Amino acid sequence: MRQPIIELKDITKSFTKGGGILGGSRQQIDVLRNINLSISPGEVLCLVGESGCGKTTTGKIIAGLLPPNLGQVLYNGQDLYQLGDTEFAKYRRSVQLIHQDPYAALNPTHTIYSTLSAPMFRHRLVRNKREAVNRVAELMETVDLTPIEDFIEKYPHQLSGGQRQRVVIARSLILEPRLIVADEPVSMLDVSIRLSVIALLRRLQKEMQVAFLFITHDLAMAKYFGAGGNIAVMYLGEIVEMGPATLVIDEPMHPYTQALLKAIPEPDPQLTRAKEPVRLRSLDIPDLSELPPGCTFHPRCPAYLGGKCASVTPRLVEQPDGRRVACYLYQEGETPLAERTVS
Amino acid sequence: MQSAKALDKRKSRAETLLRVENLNVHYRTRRGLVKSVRNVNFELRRRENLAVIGESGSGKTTLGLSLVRLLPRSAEFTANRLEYTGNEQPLDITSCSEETIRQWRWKEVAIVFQAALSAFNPVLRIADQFSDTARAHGIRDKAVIESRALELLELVQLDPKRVLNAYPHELSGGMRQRVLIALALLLEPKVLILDEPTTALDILTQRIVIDLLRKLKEELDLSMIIISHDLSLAAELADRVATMYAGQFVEFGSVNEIFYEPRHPYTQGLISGVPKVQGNMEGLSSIPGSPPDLIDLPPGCKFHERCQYATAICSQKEPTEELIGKNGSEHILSCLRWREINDAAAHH
Repeated sequence: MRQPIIELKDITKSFTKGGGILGGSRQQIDVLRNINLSISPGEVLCLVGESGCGKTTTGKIIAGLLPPNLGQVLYNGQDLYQLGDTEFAKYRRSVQLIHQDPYAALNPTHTIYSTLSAPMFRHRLVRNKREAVNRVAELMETVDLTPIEDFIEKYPHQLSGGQRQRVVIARSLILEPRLIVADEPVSMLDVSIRLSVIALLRRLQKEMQVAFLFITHDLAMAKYFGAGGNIAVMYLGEIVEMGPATLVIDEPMHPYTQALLKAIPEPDPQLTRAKEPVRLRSLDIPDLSELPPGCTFHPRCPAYLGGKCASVTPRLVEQPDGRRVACYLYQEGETPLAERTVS
Repeated sequence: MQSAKALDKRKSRAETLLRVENLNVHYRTRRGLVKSVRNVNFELRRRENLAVIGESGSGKTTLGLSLVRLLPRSAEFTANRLEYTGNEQPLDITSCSEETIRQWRWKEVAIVFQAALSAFNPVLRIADQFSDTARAHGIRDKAVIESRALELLELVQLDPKRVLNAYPHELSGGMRQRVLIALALLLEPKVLILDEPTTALDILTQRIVIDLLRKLKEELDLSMIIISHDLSLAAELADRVATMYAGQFVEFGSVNEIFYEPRHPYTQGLISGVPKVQGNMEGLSSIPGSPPDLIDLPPGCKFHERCQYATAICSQKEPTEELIGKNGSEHILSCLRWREINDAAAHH
């Protein structure tokens, strides 16, 4: 197996709540618990889940914007926080981020040319303006911002949301990254624009063999973008199911993944009205500061077994088809904490 | 069986709640006149869900606001007819007095905004949001208000004890949306206008709200106007669907006509641009370009700049609404070239 670009090993991330000028007791909230995942060169990993489940925090840890409280982030097999300056700078260049909000991600006082050329000069990829213009034009062509002369001197406010997101994407490509973390890259865009931006990302992924961490709450987009790649489903700070995207979405195993897929409304009246009803034991999502013991999904789980579901956290266990699921339904005869080694 | 159904259909047709003819809303801005809603025509019938789908800036929220006359001062609005006919005496929404409309709003037609915090008064507990509304409409008996609030919160599957004493910021987005729906039902309106009722909610919460709206329609005999950019919501709840583009209804038909036999290139583009979770991912395509500036609308068909089928005539002549449905179908379309487009598609 090829050396993964990024590996997360038993990552836990906590934030503290209260204790500020408004008083209140200080409380530690674990927004991520025991996250293990890896992304290999050229691989697509989709991270899906509801808001507050820790998708974005995971993305930030991978992009090096947040240090974890516990666990290790490995870049090319080496601990990110033990790297020397040169190696760390290399990491910074090879992992790039695409934010959700293309309106906030661009400096309003810079033209497209200056937005895209600044990192080129900063990293000495170009020596003069002529080279920079050529390189910017090349990038704009890659992201379909053409005709170039119509756009190159424009400011962000003169562009539509889709065009701005294309500039953000072009910017993320300047340093020829090996991994792009795309955090809900199309959720702020209009319905008619979304697919074209996703198609662009897919094309870049294939042509340039860039690995992607694609963070989304939209399972249909995850299935579309993640085809051929993997998906990890998160719930309240943990990964509950992880495996090939098409397999997980077409035949979900974890009761949470199953509930999501049953619940999701589809843009097809007959299909969506024929869906089986979702029977959750409780409608509302628990608060992160008062997590239920055991499996955090147990208070809502339609397949609740009682006993250890409510007392011991299930670990991710590999299934015969290669995916991993954290649920006692699929751990017959196993002691709850014994995790089979993953080859 | 067939005739009974036909009879039912005729009967329900007679029961119209809202009549809208040639509705136009323009906003005055420094840059010029923003033509948000242009020549919108429709009727809303009793026990009918009408979905208006469109992208941001297509005028759908403005349309919702104009139906209950909640537009800001900068808006100019005109209509040949904008009438509420849910009572024996029809009410002319454009011309009646402010006080009449204030009493009528919420009691006959209630609007549910997106579950943002701004839809509530942040310093009032939920219980007080209920009594505030009730008092504004002349209900002063505290016991009546309280029992009604209790009943409504239970109807939307919330725990009244927990919710009534909470402030809006203490509730989750899904709970806030359900409180807003309960609040809208306080005066037993016949029509609910829902503006993006599931946007920004998580999948499981969306499902709860969708199932709830379906149940309420059945149990309370409601009619709804559902405004959303989300095609799935229309697929779930609508009886009829209108696609809105640049302030106009470009296509309007039954939910099956819109989803399975869309005729307007814009509707077709919208539908083929949204992937489904079930089924394969082939045949997806997106619409090039972006919606026009409502201040500086292109001549002719407003969609022609993005339309793959557009010819010279599309940029010169503005299409008008045309009834294309047969055998009682009310499929309406604004496209000059729909026949040719259709024939070409049939030959493929």
